[in-house]
Amino acid sequence: MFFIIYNVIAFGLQPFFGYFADQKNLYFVYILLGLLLPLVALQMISLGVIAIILATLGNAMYHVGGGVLSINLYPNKAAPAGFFVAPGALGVLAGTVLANGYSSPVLYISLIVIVTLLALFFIFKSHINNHTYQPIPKNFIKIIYLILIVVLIRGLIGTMLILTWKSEIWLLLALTLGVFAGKFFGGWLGDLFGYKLIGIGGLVISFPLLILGHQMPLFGILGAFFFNLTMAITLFIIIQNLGKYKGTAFGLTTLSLLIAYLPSAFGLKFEFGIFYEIFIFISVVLGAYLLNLALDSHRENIKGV
Amino acid sequence: MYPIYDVAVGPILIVLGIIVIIITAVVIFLVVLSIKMIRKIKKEREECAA
Repeated sequence: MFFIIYNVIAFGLQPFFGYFADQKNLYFVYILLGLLLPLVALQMISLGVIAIILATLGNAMYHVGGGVLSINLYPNKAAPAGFFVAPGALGVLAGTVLANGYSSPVLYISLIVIVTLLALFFIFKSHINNHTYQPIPKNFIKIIYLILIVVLIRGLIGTMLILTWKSEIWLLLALTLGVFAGKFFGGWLGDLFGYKLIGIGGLVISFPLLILGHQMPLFGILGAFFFNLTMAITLFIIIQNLGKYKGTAFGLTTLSLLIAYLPSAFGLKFEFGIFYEIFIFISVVLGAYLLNLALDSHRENIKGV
Repeated sequence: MYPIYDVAVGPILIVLGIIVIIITAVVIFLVVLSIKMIRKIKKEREECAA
């Protein structure tokens, strides 16, 4: 239950946090608050829901602020979007493992947060670039909704995926590394070889691997890698098409992920079988088709400019 | 004589159902607000272009 509340606040409120940050240029303040609030929450763990709410607000702020500032470091490149988001996959696993461990990690995590906070404040501050952006294109509504549906489909596949072996901690770690690598390198590879090849190609290749990965870890891990190559590309495309509203763009994708997460959170799950395979197949084909439409529209805009 | 969980399951399901409805309603509300926000951005863009 707490986990659902966490996701609703952290993911659901990001579009509005993003919009506010876009209007007032609060990205760096968001980064600092995004670290400070979880730090305070950590000291108040015994208060339960209050600590969770503080941590989630910090999560939402950090995601928006850090995301936009990362992308601003290298404008017109998809790579930074992946570099920024990917470590979150490792963080979620580390958080789960630490929270279920025998010793309390509060002190160590607090120290890491304080060091990060100081480093960002004193070092990163001088590297912040101007908030440059492309004008919003005429067809931006079409591109945004296409990308959000792709993110939704990808989120649905991710939450419905059946991998029988992931209760084994080392295999779960390998799977998480696969997810991390896919998110991390997706944007970079897209910048090098084209967004269509990497984004759509990654989705299509992931289908047989994810099906085979039901019982075979190697295929599952490879499937997770290829499946996640799309993430940085969709994030980059939506950001490129919302002008100065980069934080809003970040937030809209997380709202999509929240919608995708709800069915599984409410207990709706597939049994492995033909219906599951058909679901994954249709989702991948639809996702690839819609991403193709979005990328075509985006390319028309670039040519137009 | 019914097992004890048969007695307890009903209220738990009702509470869970209410929670599911509330969370769904909150998310729908957030989606509607987001759509309004996108429309606002669209309007702003049209005003700038005009």
